[in-house]
Amino acid sequence: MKPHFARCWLLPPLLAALAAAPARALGPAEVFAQVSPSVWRVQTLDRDGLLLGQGSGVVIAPQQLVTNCHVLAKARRVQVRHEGQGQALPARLVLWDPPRDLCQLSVDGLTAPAVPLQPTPQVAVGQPAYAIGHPKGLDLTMSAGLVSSLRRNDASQLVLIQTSAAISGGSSGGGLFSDQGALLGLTTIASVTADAQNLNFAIPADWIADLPRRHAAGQAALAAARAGSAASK
Amino acid sequence: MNPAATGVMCRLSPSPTPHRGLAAPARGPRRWAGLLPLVAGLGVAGCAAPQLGADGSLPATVPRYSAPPLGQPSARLLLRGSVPPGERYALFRLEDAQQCQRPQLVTEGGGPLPAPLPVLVAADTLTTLDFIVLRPGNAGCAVRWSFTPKAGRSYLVQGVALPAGCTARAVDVTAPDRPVPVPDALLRTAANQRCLPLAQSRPMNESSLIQGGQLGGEAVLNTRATAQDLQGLIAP
Repeated sequence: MKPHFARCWLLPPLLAALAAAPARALGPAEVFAQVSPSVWRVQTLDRDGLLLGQGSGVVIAPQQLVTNCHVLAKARRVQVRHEGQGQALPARLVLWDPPRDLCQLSVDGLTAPAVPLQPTPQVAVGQPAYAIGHPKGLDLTMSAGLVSSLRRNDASQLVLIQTSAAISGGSSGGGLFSDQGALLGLTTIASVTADAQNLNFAIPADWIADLPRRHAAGQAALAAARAGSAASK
Repeated sequence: MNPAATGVMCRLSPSPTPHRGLAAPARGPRRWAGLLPLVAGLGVAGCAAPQLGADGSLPATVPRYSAPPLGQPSARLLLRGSVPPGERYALFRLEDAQQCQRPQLVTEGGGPLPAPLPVLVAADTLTTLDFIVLRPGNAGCAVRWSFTPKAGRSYLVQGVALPAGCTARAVDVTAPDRPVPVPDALLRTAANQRCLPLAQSRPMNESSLIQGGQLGGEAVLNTRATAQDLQGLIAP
């Protein structure tokens, strides 16, 4: 009986230790297998239905996908597609926050799984980072690197996650993922200059969680401004 | 520091965009000029460079700039450049800031010249400047922009000669360890246009994305971004 008692006594701290331990890091192939179904190509069309531009987007909730607003600039229609899927799915812009370059699309019939968001305070410089997107129209391209730095504004608020994971034109709105498959941010800006290498940037995932609130606030301010303008006429 | 603009040699095509957003337009690239502090963004400059003399000096006939009288509200203007041996750089102020007319040499550097001394410019007055790379017997390269200096502030114009052009940036260095983009700087040059009307000029500091900003106390990437470009997708 005594040994059995000892084992029971040890169990709670053991479980607590296991719960506190970080989950096993996934290999790059595992990360890709886990999250790539959630990374879609975003295509914009002009008034005449001609292709205007393209970027990437990440599924963050059922039938909801986020991308950079600049991907959608000047578009009249937007659609998303995924490798191996024959037909593009039409999408609707439902939330937007241009100052953060963050837009959310609603896509009927989108069955892709949502990825979890990594709370930004948990992002650490030096942790592995994987970028997945559709650069140059190359479907589901993955690159590996690190979180290189956390870029802040003058008020010391986080603005961008800097990464050494390679990204290129068309990656806008793609995902920067942790080695747990959580979304660190949306790849947004790349450095393409002769004297700089691997200087790439993603807007933080916390901004995605914040999008509905900021969108609503923006719309309320707009409505108030319109009402004020109408009243003054 | 944040970038300002890239100029090109007058006879050459625009230089590549150093940094950009990552959307891949089907028709021509979307360019976010210069997103890093390290280099400048895209701008296109016209030929405004006077020919150098055989010794590489500017002709004495080039009108010289006169600083505002002492006691008048003014800002400090500094110039730094990096050019290959045999080339020089200079800063011109356009007396007619609106129409980009009547250039006046503010200061110059490069070659055997020491680093240019700071000069004063009138505050609260629209000011149009050209950063110019001077190449003997060759087309020059210029970047032109306008802004309104604020009294008591210091502005640095920093330019670099590139094989296919030049870059220049204008930053507020009033706090030298925390240079910031000049908020109202407008790039006046574009492809084949040497003096864009102010209303058509694009803000230089749209290129300062990696420094971001703040709106209503919250962090944002671009304080000037609006939903204007999304109107085609916003349901009424």
